Amino acid sequence: MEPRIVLFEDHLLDDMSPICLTRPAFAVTCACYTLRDVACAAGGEVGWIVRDHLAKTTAQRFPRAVLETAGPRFFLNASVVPDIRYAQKVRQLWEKGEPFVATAGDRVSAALVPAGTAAPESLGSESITPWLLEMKLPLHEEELFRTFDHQFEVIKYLEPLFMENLARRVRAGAYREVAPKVYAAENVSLASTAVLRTGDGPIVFEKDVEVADFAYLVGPVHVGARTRVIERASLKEHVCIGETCKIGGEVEASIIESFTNKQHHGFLGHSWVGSWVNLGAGTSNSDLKNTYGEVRLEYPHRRVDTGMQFLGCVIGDFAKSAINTSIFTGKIIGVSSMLYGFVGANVPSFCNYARSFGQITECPVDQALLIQKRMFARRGIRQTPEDATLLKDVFELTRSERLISDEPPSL
Amino acid sequence: MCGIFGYAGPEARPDVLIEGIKRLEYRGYDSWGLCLAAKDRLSLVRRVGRIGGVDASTLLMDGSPSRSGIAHTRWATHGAPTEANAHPHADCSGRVAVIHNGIIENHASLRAGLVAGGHRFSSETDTEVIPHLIEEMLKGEPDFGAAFLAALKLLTGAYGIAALWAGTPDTVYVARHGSPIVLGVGKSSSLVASDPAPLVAHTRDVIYLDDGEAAFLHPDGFETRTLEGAPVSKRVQQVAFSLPDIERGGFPHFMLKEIAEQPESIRNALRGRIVRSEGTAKLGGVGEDLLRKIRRCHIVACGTASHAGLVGKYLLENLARIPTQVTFGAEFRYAHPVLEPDTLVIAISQSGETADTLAGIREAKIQGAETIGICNVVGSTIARECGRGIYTHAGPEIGVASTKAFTSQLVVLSLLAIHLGRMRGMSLRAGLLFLDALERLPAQAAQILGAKEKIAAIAKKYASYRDFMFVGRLFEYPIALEGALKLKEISYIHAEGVQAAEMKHGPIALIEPNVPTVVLAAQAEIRDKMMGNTHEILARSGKVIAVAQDGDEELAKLAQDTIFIPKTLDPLVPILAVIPLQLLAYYVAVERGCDVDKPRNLAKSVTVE
Repeated sequence: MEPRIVLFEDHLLDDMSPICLTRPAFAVTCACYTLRDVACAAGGEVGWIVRDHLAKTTAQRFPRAVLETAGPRFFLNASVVPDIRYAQKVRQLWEKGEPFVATAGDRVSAALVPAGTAAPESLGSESITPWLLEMKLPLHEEELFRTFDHQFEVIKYLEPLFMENLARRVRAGAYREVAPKVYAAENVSLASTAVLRTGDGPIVFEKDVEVADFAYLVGPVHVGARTRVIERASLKEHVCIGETCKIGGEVEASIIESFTNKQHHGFLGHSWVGSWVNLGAGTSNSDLKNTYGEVRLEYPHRRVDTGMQFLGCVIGDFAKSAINTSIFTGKIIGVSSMLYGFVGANVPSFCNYARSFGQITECPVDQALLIQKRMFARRGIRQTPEDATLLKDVFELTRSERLISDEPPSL
Repeated sequence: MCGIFGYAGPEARPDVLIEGIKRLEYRGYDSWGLCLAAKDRLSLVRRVGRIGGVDASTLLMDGSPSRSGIAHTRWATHGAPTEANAHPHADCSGRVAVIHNGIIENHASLRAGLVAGGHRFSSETDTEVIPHLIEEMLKGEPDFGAAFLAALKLLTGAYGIAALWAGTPDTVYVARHGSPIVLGVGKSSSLVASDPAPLVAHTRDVIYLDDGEAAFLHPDGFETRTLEGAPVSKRVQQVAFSLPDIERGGFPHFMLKEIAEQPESIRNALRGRIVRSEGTAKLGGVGEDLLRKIRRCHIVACGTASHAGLVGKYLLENLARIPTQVTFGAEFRYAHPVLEPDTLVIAISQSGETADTLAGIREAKIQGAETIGICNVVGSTIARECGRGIYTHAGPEIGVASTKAFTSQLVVLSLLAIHLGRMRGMSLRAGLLFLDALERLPAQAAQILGAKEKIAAIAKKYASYRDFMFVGRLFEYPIALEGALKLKEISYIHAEGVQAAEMKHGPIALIEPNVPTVVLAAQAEIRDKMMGNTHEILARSGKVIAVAQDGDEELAKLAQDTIFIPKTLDPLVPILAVIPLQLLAYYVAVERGCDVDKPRNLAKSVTVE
């Protein structure tokens, strides 16, 4: 029997904001895969349990049927890192067939629930962990799967996972090796003046990618379908670009999700950038402190040591930056926020952040919806009621962030 | 542990009911009450304190002849010993009365639902939900027996229950799930009790109800059913014990009875406190806000409780990473303790009346420290003065040498350490491992008790020695102290508990063929170190009685005698390792002809400084 996998979000996703405010945790890209890709690679059916506000948009993208089966199910935490080697591990555990529950830190990472265990209809992200634990399944001796517990870990895991994940992608896909360790899917256009360095890792282009003159790429790099790498762009080591993006300037060790534009000059390093983001010309971030010390992230009422010397920023979906925006080391930018000037602090979602000019105001959700509609239209996508509802829900969910962000509006 | 008694027959009078619960007073004695059914109504009396010499004739019911009655003597678990909390408890209409022995784990959620539905509660007990639930069921079910059984289906926890309904004044309704119930079969009466003690005055024909069974008692007979309502036939047995035997549960001494009760008392200390869904423990009597803010703990206790405190120190420091200090109650006041605002002072006392510990708590409060009590007696002075705490639910402890109260204190301290640990970074996995290990303890304790004949034989072999050593490390060091104390208390043998690594700094000079040593070596982490200690003792011609983990044949080959205990996590080893030492002390004392339950010069509760 093929695995029946349920990717479940649990109650511990606050520290994954803003990445997971607008997408399920299993749809976060890291090292050219999402966890859903990994689950699909294990074979069989893949269903999901997500937080209520994501249910409708998730249902538009992914089938859910597997949850209702009476047979055994493999519950995999949606925050498990998308390490392609986990596909094999899931399959082995499934084939072994011995029920278990496994933990990672403070959460359940996986469980094999035997046949005949009916899931309550109300099973959701808040109740799934208690439900799995109260079944008293044998506790697995190992912590089988690692999880993303904080948003910066998506960047932290990029380098350790990249080579293995990219190698698997090359093995499983239909690519031509157009140059040593340069793999291209169909209809890829590479300018003759582009420089592709693969000494430290391969470069993989999905279909319809365009690489313009004088672009300089150093592998490992993965570029998603229909993305344009514009002239003089520099993509250096462990860069992972989604679909339908426009990428220019200098990008290093970063993840850019689909439909995002970073078209102009400016440096982006050791960062995660969401979907439908636009970074204005000259936008740069810092990924190294002047002290060369460990980067520490600020959360409400606490600080967390990242263990990382290089860490840039995390930018939520639909955020925009004005020309010459400068984002300091280790900053988190919320969903649908607008940045101007220096960004020396975390920015809540739905903020017009121009602190260096003395202005921090709320970005009305109606305005965010209008911008969303215009951006979608440019890519031939219709804004659905579900898309709009999601943004409205996220606006409400993040209201408290804006209330506690009462710093004086000056640098 | 409470005592329940019920009677259906021509002599349903206050004096008969009082005589019944007097025979059960050893099961609990902080308050009592009774109820008689007559003429479509119930008459109810409740009092605080021991039953003592109460004159039944002064208990004016309403004088109407009655054909059924129930009575209860209480050992408080939920709610202080007050008249309002004494049993029987009634529903809103006063037509349903219930007495109960056990703990209803889901009483809080049931109560919330009933209150939302308009029911009025008059006590703090878990029991009171039962008559209100039955009242609720009666709204849709005219048959009381069916409503009674339907209400029981909603209960989680343990119970032995007897109930009366004004609508059927000649019937006593009985059910059992986890707490003992015995039926008495008389010629013209039917009876029920927690054990046969109050029945033998009426009949020697008894039926032991099993878990999941119910009975409806009438003067002319009885029906036995499953909790689902299906008829079940039961075998009538003859009671062959004397009355004192029954009170001691057939054991020759209360101490042995209480040692044997530890599987159940450990289970009761755990009951309703394990939150598997979060991999932690729930301790309702201690505020979450308080536990979040504390940075240090200071345990105050005396005697056996201070040994529990020492284990508590290791638990709190290992599992929760909270620096913890233990001080004898008598020294606390005079030692000028440093109590910061974020120091939590924990008082441990079985009786809750230990004068030195109480004085320590008062001193801590004067200094503004936060205090909690870990007590067995609900509503005791320490419990009241601390204002919050954790009850051990061990049931009454009669034997002067504390046994089951000690292991219950260790269970409660383990739960507290897990709870604090989970708040401070203990992983979910570690929490679950501890919860699994805790849940295995009752069966493991029973396994140790199954080897008591072997321990009795070892005791007989060593009973004539005049000096003993007990050695242990880490979690077993306080158990070495406790094992030595037990032996001193009841057998009057000189015994020393020593930290094993300290042996070479002095005590090893005492080792010779006439000084046997009990070596505690059941912790995996330091087992090899204890092997070293064993070799050192044997090299000096000492005799070794080892307490080892199941399967440790290497140690067993070295030691003259070995008592095996089941494997558990090192921090929980004390809960199991102390049981053979209790048995060893007991059998040595019996062999030497000592008065086990009333050792010389000692009192059960030390209420003077």
